Amino acid sequence: MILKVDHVSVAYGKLRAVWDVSLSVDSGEIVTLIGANGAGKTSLLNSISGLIPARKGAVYLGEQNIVGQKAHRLAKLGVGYVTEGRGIFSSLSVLDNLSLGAYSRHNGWTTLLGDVSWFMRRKDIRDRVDYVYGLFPRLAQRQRQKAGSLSGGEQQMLAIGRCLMASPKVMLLDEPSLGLAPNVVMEIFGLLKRLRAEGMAILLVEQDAAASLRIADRGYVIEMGRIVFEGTASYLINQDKVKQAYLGQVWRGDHQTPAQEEAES
Amino acid sequence: MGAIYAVVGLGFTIIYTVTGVINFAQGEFVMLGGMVSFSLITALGLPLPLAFVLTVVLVTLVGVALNLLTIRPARQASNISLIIITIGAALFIRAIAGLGWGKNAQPVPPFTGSETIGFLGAYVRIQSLWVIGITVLLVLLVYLLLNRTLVGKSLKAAAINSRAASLVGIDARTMSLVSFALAASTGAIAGMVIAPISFASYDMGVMLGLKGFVAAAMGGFTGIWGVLLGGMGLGLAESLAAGYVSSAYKDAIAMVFLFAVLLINSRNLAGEEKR
Ligand SMILES: Nc1ncnc2c1ncn2[C@@H]1O[C@H](COP(=O)(O)OP(=O)(O)OP(=O)(O)O)[C@@H](O)[C@H]1O
Ligand SMILES: [Mg+2]
Repeated sequence: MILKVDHVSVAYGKLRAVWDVSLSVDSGEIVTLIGANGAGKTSLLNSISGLIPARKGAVYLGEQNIVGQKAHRLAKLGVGYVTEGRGIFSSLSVLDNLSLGAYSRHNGWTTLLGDVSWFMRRKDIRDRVDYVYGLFPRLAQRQRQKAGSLSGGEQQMLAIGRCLMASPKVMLLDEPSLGLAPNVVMEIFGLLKRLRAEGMAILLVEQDAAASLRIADRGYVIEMGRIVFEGTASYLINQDKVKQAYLGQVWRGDHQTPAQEEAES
Repeated sequence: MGAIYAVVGLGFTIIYTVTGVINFAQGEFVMLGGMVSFSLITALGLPLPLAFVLTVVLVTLVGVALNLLTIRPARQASNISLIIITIGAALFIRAIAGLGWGKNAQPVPPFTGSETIGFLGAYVRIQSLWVIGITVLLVLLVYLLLNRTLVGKSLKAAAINSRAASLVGIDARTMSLVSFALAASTGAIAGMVIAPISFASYDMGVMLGLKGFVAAAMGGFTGIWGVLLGGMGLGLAESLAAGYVSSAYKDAIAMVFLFAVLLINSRNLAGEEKR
């Protein structure tokens, strides 16, 4: 297993967002984590990537326990994270966003003082940019454009492309389909399948459970910060409870999340 | 003078955009630039170019130390407390300087000759030309650093979205350190070029820091061009006031500008927490 999350808990003050969660992702595998608003999906990804500390438990990247390390270190070690809301550098160009994606691959101060294009002259990084442009030809056409001027779908592609620039060992994606037209979602999911074929380990968080279970190999269902179901995608799709709660039904955005109830009591 | 305000304001802007902190010790970097170069030239008798480089290095080290000793350990604190820490650091540096160099203003020899030359019908001091030349060069260098180098791009990235920056491997603490180093070195240069005109004294940082702050605030703490316009505007307003009213009102202009800027900007300056 490339990524192994071992009994991890995350809390904000007294509020428990993730409770004793264990899951794993292997290379060449898309694993999906589905759950309602406030179930703790983002909190879990944030703690895996080092943005917020885990209260308890361990996270293994390969053999190495990476729990407690800061995000910028984990980026170097091979954890790639495409956040909810994408987090692109909107006033920088598309190309600059991509070159910063490879930031963790520079070595030492000398490179830092170099020109960006000089940095890009490194063969491996130049090849990586071409690889990303191969995946998303639209980014190549817009490489000098400010990232903020891209459409929502293109920004999502840029966020994924930037993440790929570091050649991560595992990719965490938080609701990449959010707010995108169905055909763009299809394009992005198609890309994830291609990355899987190339051996990437992918942890895909989605609210649209039907769509993500269709492309995933395995899945976990998280409720109130706990894993309540897990199994192969075909198993989960046919589970009555999963069907009832997550498939074929439109979410009501106004229901109270369990974590909030816990906080109020 | 406007050029100097712009350069001092540049230091404020760089640190503010990268860390969200207004560094009130910026004026002290300027003072240290003036005082250290005074000592190196007058007391040690070093040649000017060497003194110039040494001063930049020494003051940059002070900036780095300030970041490591005060900002980094308190990283968890709110931006407001960090700002107060920089005010404390400024007082500390000023007090040490007052003890070490005494409280008298020291004359610093100009870079080349003290005479004035005729220029477009007016008489200007040669040192003023140095001020303008060096500040233009400095601003150009900072512009190139921020916009053309990887470290500049990563400073910008950290300023735009520090979370996303950390996810591509940019360490926010390193960026904070770099921004302090950059602000300290530009401040030191401003202090060195202005000292022959204004004299060097332990408290020269107060007024220059304040005016630099006004320049930065007039530029909205946004970027190089804003602070340049702010500094030039302030310098122009000051000389107009000195020429048409009375030179006694020169400093009052900065206060009026400060007041206006704070009134307009108070909400987004104090209220804006770092994302
Ligand atoms: N920074 C925070 N401080 C305090 N509570 C938080 C914070 N972030 C999230 N929470 C709480 O933790 C719980 C889990 O939130 P989280 O964002 O992980 O859910 P999610 O499954 O990603 O939801 P969504 O589908 O809406 O993105 C929620 O109750 C939320 O209110
Ligand atoms: Mg979420």
